[in-house]
Amino acid sequence: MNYLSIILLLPVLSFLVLVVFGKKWGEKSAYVSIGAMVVSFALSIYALLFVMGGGHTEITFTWASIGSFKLTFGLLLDALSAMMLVVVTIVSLLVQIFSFGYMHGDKRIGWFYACLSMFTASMLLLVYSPNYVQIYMAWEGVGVFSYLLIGFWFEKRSASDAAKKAFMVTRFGDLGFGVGLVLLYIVAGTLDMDKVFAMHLPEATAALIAILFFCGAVGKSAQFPLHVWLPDAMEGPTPVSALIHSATMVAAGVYLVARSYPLFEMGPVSLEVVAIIGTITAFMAATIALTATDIKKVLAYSTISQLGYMMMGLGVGAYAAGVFHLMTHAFFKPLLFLGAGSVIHAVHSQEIFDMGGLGKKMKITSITFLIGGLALAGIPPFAGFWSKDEILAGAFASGHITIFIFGLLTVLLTAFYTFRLIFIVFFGKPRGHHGDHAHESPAVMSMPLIILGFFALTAGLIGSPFAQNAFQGFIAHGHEAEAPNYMVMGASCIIALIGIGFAYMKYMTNVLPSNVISKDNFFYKLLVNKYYMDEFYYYALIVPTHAVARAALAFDQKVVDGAVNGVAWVSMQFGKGLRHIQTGYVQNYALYMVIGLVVLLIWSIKILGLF
Amino acid sequence: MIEQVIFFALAAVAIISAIAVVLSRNLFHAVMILGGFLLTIAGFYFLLNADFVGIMQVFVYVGGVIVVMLFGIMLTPHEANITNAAKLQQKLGTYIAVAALIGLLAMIFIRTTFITSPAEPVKDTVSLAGKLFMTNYVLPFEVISVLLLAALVGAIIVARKEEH
Amino acid sequence: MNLTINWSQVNWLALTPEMIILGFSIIVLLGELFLSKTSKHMLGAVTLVGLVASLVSLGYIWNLQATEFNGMFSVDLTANVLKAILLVTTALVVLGVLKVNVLMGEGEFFSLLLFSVLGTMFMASSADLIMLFIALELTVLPSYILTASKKTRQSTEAALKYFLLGMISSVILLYGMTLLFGLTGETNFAAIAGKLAGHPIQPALVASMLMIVVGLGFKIAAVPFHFWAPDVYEGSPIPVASYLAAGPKAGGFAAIIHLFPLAFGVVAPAWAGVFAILAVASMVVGNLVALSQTHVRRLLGYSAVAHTGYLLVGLAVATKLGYASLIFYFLVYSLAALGAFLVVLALAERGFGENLKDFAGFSRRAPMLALAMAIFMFSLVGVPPFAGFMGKLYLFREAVRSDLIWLAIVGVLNSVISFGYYVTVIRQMYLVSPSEGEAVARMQVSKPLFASIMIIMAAVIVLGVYPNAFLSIIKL
Repeated sequence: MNYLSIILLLPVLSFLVLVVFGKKWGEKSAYVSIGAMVVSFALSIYALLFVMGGGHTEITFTWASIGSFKLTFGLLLDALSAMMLVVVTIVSLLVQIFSFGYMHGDKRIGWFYACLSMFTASMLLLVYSPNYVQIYMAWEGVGVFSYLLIGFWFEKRSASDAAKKAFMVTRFGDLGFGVGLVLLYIVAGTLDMDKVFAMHLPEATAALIAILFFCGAVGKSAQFPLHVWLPDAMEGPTPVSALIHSATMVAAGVYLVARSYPLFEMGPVSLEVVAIIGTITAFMAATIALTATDIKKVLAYSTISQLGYMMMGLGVGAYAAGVFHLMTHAFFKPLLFLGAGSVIHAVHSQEIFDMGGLGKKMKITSITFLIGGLALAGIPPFAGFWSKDEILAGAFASGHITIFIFGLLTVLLTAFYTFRLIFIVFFGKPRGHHGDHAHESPAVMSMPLIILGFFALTAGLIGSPFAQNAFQGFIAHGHEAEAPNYMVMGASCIIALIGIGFAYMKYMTNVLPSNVISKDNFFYKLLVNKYYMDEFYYYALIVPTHAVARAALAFDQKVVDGAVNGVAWVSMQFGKGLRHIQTGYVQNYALYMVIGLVVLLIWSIKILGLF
Repeated sequence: MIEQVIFFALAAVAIISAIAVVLSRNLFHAVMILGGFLLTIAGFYFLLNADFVGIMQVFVYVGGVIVVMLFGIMLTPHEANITNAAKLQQKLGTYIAVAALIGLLAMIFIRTTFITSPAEPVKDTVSLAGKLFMTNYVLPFEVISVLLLAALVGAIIVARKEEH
Repeated sequence: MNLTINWSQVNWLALTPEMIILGFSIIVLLGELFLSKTSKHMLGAVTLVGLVASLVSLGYIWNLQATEFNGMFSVDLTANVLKAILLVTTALVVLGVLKVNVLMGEGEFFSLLLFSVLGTMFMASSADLIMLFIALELTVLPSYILTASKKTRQSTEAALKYFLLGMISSVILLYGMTLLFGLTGETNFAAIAGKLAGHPIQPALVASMLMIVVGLGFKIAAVPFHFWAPDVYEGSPIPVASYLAAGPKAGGFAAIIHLFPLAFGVVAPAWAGVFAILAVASMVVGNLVALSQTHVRRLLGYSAVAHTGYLLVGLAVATKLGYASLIFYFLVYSLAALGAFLVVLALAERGFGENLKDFAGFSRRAPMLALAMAIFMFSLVGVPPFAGFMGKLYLFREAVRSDLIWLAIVGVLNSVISFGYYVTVIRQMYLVSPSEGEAVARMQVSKPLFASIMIIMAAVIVLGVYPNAFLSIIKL
């Protein structure tokens, strides 16, 4: 058995074992799951080294065949998948270790670890895919386990609602993905990626298919206008948010676009769509984050915004930069989420105005959170700076000036809301009594923070000009990185610092009067209400759906249930029965059958041209 | 020629009695007319030289089914007239659908040539039917016996009173 | 006319599976007569042995191709596969109800079940109109009786509706067969095809074809001939509903696959189109009405109608691969539907109701059963990696390949709609707590029933993850 399949099979095995024994073993379940993940991680590192040495592996085996139609299942190892393997396994590993402290005392911890394992396995399956059927299956798989994990605390009504919303909204995007797959199959006759990419599809067709694929990515990666599910998904346990809703599953949409990049390049219009949607998402989510007061929601909107950045990068042609940002983000965002988890664990509240002055009580958490914040805000030399800068430079170089300007504006907003969060939570004076008994989390929780903090500090360097953009060269042969644009670098750095400065003046000093941002302001209301997107969906989609459902119900009650209610008790003796049965309804059914026969008769005669 | 006259006479009786069964408001009358209808069908069989089938038709339907139906009506309390609960739309829908079906089928049959073979008169249809049952159609014949067994078991279960 | 039959030439091997079922049905019926009340519960196990024995003998003649009894009865791979599916699902039903009160004498129940199985097997092997009609009656007659066996108002009413509509459809079917005989003077499928080939299409042939569509469409519960299905699924005793949901449709589909391409080959565009229309109607009506159901078995009834729609896609494409995809999806669907019914049975056995709200907190009462139910629901929607996904993939792919892209799109859209009601079941089980003050105790499930559900769950997963396991056996 190949080591690549072991990477995939270990978490599956862990899932199967924990489904059966998880309840019995309780917290010991974590050892199984974490142990499996350690091995998978080690093997992933080996795979990465193998690819860096110029290796490339593709294993396929037939999985279902009917006639000449074969479905294959395969493991594809190239630069992109090797990088994703390492990212997925390391984040999953750290999150699982962190959860051991965070979920301490939860009765269903076995099930929790089972779900985490299987989620990771689905994600690995997705990453490995050499064909679109496998991607689609794994895509749905991560959706299902995300659903289970968001709704893990299903006793909470909001959690179960959020799980449902996440599933429904992403399914909406998946519909486009599914139609795209069917279309691709019709046009190309195959769903194997290498075969598809080797073809020369007509430009318009390729663009249409690519845009349909992008619909799936919009749902999964919470892009505008389907981003509404991600903030609600924060109802899940915080480690879940860190794993699924920052580093892995939400990145799957970006991964899909990156994976299908040759297809998108065949229809360049689709890349424009990707860039525009990405920019709108990045900017809009950043503005909403300005007013959010729930620590996890701030991070959720920031995730949406950063995913928008990645899409923006891919869209403007800076392929390597987009993937690079995916990678750096996968380190600093889980760091922020786990840090937030540590804070929530300590103060038992998610409201930032319940917190304050936690810096002194939780040293490790606050320092690592600060590192994550600096990476997010884009301050050199932290990870986020290098990748974000590459994207902006790409937008600038390709002549997308409007996108570039919005990108810079988003940098300003990002820096502001990030440090608004940091200043309120970790500095200043305690507000209320939630933080009275706060203390640093146990080592099992702070250790993953430190490791992620290290990466948030250093992971960007491998793609920086200091390392001759080594990462970009590795991930994208042929998509060579731009020469470093020091003007863009300087501008984005200064703008980020200005953002931090504003935040400092507003929340740490009284230089800015508090009524600069009036709460009666139209814009403030717009932002607090998240641009009224939820309301829009409620009236545009949910209300009509309910109306249709009600109509169907009415039909059923009148036509079908009416029949049931109207019929009197029927004796089994047939003679007696004749008296009681109201055969009218049965006659109706027979009548429908006759009408059906007549209609089909007319249609058939027409189609055969008999008369 | 004479056969044709008989055929059309029988057909007219069959159609009129069939309509009368459906439209009759009195259950007892309906069953009696149904018996008449089934006799005309037996008439068709005789006309086609299928004497055995004709006799069986009379035995089984007129002598069996109709009698059981009459017993059923007489042994159970019932109102003299079935109150026809059907609404106007229902009636109208039924008439239109049935008329459309009959019209369509008539158009179809007029344009169709059915296979006709000059049937050599068979003297002894009983032995021919018997031979067919025991040779070509032996398997369906045996399956029918299983069907009858299932029907018997079913009749007992349905007619039995609730034990508990 | 050939009026001889050479008994020594009959290949009895071809009939062994049927003979075994017939023998066991008689044994079980006699057991009801002669066994004491306490030992009658063995009859379920005897039935199970019979079904397995028949399955084994079927495996022995798996690749046999034969036509026996002057063209009345033919065996081929399609018939064998469908018979195997029927036997397996029925065996799972029997296993599930071993420790369940079947509301009537065990011998009566199981022998009627076996009679119906026998009829369905003959239907799958019919090569002659007369055989087909009689086999069909043998399939449905025990079903009517089984439906009525509960003797409640609902059960009786469902049975009576089923019976009356079934009679009407049988009469229409018979009329269609008569017309076919009138046009050709033959009752054998192949002989009919021979007589029709090379001649202009007679209009009455179309009428005959459509009347047979009505008759068989009723058996497989296609819209607008489906009205019995929700009533029967809801009103009949649950073991009966489980059986009806899975097995007997195999006969209808086998008959269509054998009869239409052969005897009605000359009007293939017409019936392919008719099946496409019925497919769309069944999918749309089934799914939309199911959306507003609150009674789980009624919901499953409409879902069954919708799935008949998906299956009809395989007939609408009218290709060998289409039929193969249909058969695969039929297996996949039957397993999931049967599993769902057995879960409902497990609940009802412990005195729970059958409304959606009674599923609240089910995941805590019986975690394994809830997981199984969730997997069945996912499979019915067509969520990978469960079997339903592979089944739908094959069907819709065939539709695309045969230039029926619109049909595939309608199918996919319907699958999305269906998600709406299947997910409600899952939501109830996992995310809704039972009403206040109700203690959530572990639910006891009889061992055979639990085993049956677990086997089905394993099958649904295996068929989804590695469908080749099955596809290579049936050589599709």
